[in-house]
Amino acid sequence: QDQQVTGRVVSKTDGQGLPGVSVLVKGTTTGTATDVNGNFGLNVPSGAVLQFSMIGMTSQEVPVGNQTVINVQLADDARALEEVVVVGYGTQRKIDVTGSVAQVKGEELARQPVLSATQALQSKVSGVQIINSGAPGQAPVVRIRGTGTLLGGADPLYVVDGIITEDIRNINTADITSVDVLKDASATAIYGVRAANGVVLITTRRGKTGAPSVTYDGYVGIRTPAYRVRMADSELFAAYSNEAVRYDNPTAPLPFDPATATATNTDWFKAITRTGFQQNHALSVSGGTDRSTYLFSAGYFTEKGILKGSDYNRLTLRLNNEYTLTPAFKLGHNLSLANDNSNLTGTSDPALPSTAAFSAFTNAYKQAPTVPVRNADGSYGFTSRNNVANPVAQLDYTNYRSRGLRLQGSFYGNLTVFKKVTLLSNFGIESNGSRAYTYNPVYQVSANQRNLISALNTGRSNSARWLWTNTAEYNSTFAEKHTVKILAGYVAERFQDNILSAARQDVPPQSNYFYLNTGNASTATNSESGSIQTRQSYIGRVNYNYSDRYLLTATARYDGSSKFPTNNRWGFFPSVGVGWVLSEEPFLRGKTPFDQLKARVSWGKTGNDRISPSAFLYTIASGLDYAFGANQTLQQGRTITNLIDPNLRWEVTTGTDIGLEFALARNRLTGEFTYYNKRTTDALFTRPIDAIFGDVDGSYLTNAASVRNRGFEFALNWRNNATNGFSYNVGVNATINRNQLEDVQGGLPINEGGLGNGQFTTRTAVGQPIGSFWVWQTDGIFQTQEEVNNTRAKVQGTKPGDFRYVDQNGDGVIDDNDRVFVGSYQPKLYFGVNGGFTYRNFDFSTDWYANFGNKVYNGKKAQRFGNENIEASRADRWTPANPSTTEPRASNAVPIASTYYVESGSFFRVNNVTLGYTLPRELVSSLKVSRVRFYVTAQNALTIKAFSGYTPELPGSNPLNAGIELSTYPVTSAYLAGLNIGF
Amino acid sequence: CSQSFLDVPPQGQQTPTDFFSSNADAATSLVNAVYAKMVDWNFHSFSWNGITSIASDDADKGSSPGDTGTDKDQLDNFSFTPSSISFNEVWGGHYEAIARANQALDNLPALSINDTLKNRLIGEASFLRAYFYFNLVRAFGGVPLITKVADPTSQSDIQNGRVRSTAAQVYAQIETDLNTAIANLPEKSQYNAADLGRVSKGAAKTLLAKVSMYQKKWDVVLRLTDEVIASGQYSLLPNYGELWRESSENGVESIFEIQGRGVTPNKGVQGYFESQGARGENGWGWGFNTPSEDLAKAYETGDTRRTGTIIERGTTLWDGRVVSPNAENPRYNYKAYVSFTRETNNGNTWETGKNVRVLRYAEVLLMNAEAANELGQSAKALTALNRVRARARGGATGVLPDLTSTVQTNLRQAIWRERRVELAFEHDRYFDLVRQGRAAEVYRALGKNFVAGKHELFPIPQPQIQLSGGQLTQNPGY
Repeated sequence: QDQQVTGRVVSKTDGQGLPGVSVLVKGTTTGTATDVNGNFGLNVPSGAVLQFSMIGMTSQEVPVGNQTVINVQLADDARALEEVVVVGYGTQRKIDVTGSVAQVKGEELARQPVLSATQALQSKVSGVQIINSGAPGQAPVVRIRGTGTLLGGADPLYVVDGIITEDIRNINTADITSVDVLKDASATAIYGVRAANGVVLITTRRGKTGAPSVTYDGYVGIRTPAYRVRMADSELFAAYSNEAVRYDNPTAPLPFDPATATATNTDWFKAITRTGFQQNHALSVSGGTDRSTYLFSAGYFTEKGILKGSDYNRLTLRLNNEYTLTPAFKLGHNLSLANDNSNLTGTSDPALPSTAAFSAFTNAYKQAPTVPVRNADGSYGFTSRNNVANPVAQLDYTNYRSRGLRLQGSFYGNLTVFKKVTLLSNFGIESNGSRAYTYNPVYQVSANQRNLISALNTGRSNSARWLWTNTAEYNSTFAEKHTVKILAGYVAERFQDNILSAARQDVPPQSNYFYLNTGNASTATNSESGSIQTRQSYIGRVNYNYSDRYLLTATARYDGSSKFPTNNRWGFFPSVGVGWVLSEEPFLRGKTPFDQLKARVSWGKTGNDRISPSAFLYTIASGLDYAFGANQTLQQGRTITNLIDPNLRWEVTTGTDIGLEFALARNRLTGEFTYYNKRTTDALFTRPIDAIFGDVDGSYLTNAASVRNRGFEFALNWRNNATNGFSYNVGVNATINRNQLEDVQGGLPINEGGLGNGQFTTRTAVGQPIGSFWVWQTDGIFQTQEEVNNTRAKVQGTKPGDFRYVDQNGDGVIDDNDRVFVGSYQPKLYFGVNGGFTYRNFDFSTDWYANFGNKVYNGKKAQRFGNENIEASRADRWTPANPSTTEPRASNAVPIASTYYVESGSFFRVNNVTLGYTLPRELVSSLKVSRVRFYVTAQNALTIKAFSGYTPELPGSNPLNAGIELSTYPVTSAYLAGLNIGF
Repeated sequence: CSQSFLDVPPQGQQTPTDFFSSNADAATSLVNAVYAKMVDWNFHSFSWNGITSIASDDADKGSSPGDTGTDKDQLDNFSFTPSSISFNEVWGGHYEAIARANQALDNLPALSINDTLKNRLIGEASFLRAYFYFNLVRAFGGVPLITKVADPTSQSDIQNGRVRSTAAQVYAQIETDLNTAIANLPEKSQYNAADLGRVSKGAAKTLLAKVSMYQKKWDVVLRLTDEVIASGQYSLLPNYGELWRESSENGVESIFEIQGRGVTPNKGVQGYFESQGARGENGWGWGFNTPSEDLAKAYETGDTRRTGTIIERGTTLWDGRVVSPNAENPRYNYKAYVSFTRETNNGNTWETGKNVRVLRYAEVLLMNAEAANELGQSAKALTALNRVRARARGGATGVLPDLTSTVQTNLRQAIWRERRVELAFEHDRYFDLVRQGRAAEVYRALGKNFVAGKHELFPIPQPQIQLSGGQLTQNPGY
């Protein structure tokens, strides 16, 4: 039978009443919250236990017994001491960690309307740079503590519930308990040859003992372009183009008749974009008994992108159960299934057919405003004056669709023996199948935009992985002062993938016929490739803690990989870290303002094995076929075309990390300062080689470079306790990184960043950051022909109104020797600000992100061939009547790579603003619902940027050509409304 | 730990050992791969046209004023530098081809196949290597001589690759290879129909004659061309204009062609058709390498070779295609044209079925004439020369009269002029002008910035000099 209980909850520190404390009957959803003065009243069944909890305070449980009045004092949460983080193959108290580990809770990530957790990580963690893409379904680029490799792949390693993987887009953010980022070698070395780029550990939710809990989270909203570039109208465009032609030939006929050119004024960006739409629904059911816990969740995410036709949807299902067979023996599994579907936007698999649809953005930028989207007769507009495709026609004729089905799961058993030893065996599996096709119909827009024979290209990619992890952990405390934890383990892994692709021509244009069989069999082509990778590893870790004051962590991984030649197959990756918790020293305790103060230093070695399997073996290139005979019959051609380095090995990163962690003001202010210095040696590099060797790409892959990243990280978080129903928190974090290519043994710099018009823009050279822009320095504009004549160092064909370039070496010639390094896409500083408050039933949160000191290249502006559109700002160009010193004359010449196109990549953005309202508990409890919250959220609502283009977030295809805006899907803004319900 | 778990053989890619031991066609496919290099973009397409035609007086850069084709404007007006991309492309493409020939020639002797086939394949690869070096020596002078597969881990191979042999040494190697080819190859008619397009004894003799002509070994030129003429393997196609059509590929006049396949899977000379196609309204390409006004004027009235070589804008082509009067340029190269209505194609404009003619019988006659004249046999020279002119009349009377002058210098000029109009856009004009010792004079007359003593050779590509650590020496004047 029920009894009425009343009482008051106060703060142990100051005796003030605490409002908003959750009071819950344990094991049920019955409960209430304290009022403004800390008072509560509740009907409870006999024998109940009350749980008092509040963020920032230590929770308490009180058995009711026969009490009718229960007064409770809640202590400030000594959170900093009790916080637990996930480390490789286990967990640790944060205070015991001697390396750099940052944790972000799942609920913080789920607040943002993004596809994958890493997107929401931007601004949350120091040392972690996230570069987003606006395209639906795309994963962001993640760089932990700078770019430590040139070609080896700079993405971090992802570990989802113990399964090592490369892509986490299959994980519904709502299913995540925490994301832990391991940044330094002391934390990552346990992952050995794959840890050099940092490790991101993802732990998914599990059921908790108690009655079933059902939650629904959902939102819907729109997406819009975050920024538009103002383009010239027809009048300006025609005037400019006519002017450009007349400079080359004063008597040439004008390409655009000024009288009629302005009749059409097409806004091409508008013509290819639309208001996007986004929705997400996540449902979960969880609960458990003493014997088992369960969690089932389902999620459905869709996004219609701003580019017409681009859309993506994803369905996720998850089942995480655990069975306690005996108190010492548990079995469990985490299973997830994800199905995705996308249109005009890519899969992650570069081997499958892919889309060129994003170049519509560049074509929209370049196409003349005098060209109509469609002519009066319905045909697509074009002009033979330029080579630019009609971007609307381009989208209409592009058919690209991909689907993926991914199963990921782990099964584990956990046995505790002799109370001090825990044995864990975890068998992880992953199966990933994707399929994609492109269909190119027959069409004719213009001589430059046409296709005479239809073709269907289709591809299937399948991969399977198993990963078996076995660990034993011994944990014991001696003499109450010496705590020792020893972990030893063995890991084996096998990965196999297979890619099949095929094509046929003469396939009918209706999508229900997009199957190879409808095409012409005599045009069929196909290919298949695959790989197998195996790995074996031995891992070990020792943690020692003396009196919570002195900490030592030593780890090692001995890694073997099939990717390397026999003599270079095994590698040893050690690390050691020490920590000193000064605040626990008896002579300091209570004598400093610090509630907690810890200093730590670590050193370690990690590796990077992202290199294609068998890259160390000479292989026979096939497909070098040649036609003989009257019927041009192909005969097979095969030979060796590619030089290899038979001694290839993994990249090695050696890092040092020095940090200081502290808590002040009754643990309300916590912070961390870290210095890191890591050097990658044996970095993979395509070493250019004399052409006489006849290598197919003039270079071979070898371990030849060294890269250093060093920097500072700092994070500060303030969280106050609730008074009068008001609580708030503010966090800031910042990262300063310096990246430098230190050495390339015997190799030449690599030039990259080609714009497809003969101009390249970046160079990766010793002493500079990776992928630095390397261009000519402009030095004003030639005003008169006389000035041109009197200048020796100039570009061929220079006329008044053209740029002067600095003849850096004074040899009277403008050539590659006069190019200068003008910065790279890698930021010097980035920081995040996170804050929020709750007041009674309202909650507010916001995340800001800023990025400073990097450069971007305006590739779309610089990629001209003639008569492309120009930006409205070019109205101020040099003319004989307008002697500009900054904007050159109208010209149809291919623009020269110069500082004119290099712009600041710095930006500041309000990533997210969310305002929520939770219905009063009294109101919802009558509806048998425990929680109802409405919210509105805005993603990327405000961006302040220096760059004149669409977006400064330009990851590029690899670190060597990042930061160039060309065919880029811009980052978008989203405005959404959502609902959370808990039963 | 079990070592075998980590021993994963390469998947889907053959190792050389397995390939040579288990593939019955290994030998033939090694040599086919050498041929296949010739269709690549960096071998015989844009850059090659740039240095052989655009840099000559036969062609202009073409295209739009702003589109330089990376450096084709520089080739046109002799403002190029060692950094201009075309040189590195040609250099790289040819050494890649040489490396493939070396792979074949190094490995063929050890393979167990029947000797007839083996000898023929060795002959084919030798011919091809000779052709590659011939192009290099004409363009750059003496170049590093690589006659074995070079190992990048071998210091002596690296060193050897950074030392230029003399032009004479390169020519000597070319002659050695061609003599091997002549000894090993069958005549064109002795090949199976399925192997049509492989190099033949006649091709090897013709190339050796041409190589000898560049060295002014006139007696050798005369002997070899006489042999080719006497072999009965070749004759002139009656209609000059039809020579460039699909119907004449590997035909009676053909001695050596690069084979293009215009059906799926396409294996055509990459970009050859597209880069030279008419540009602008109703065009089909980029419009580069356009016939110069000077070339157009070089044809005598009634010469069928003018209309066979030059597409004029506003005209109708043989297959009925109308070239817009508003095309960007006044003239285009007809020899690069592929008909979409009358010839095999699948819409792929990048790799078409166009065979690029490298050696044909008319040139044998012209070389025969030139050698005979140089050796004082003017009557013999006139016979050969007038056979070429006779075909060019296209059956008309009263035009292109037979030449009769027996004065050596006059006849020399006449033969040179005949070479120009007969072989325009066949990748020889620039080299011919240099070989004939009159490049400076001809270019000066056209107002081009040709510097005698410098521009007879193209510069060694700057990237290669850099890669060699400065060891590779530059040609004079650059």
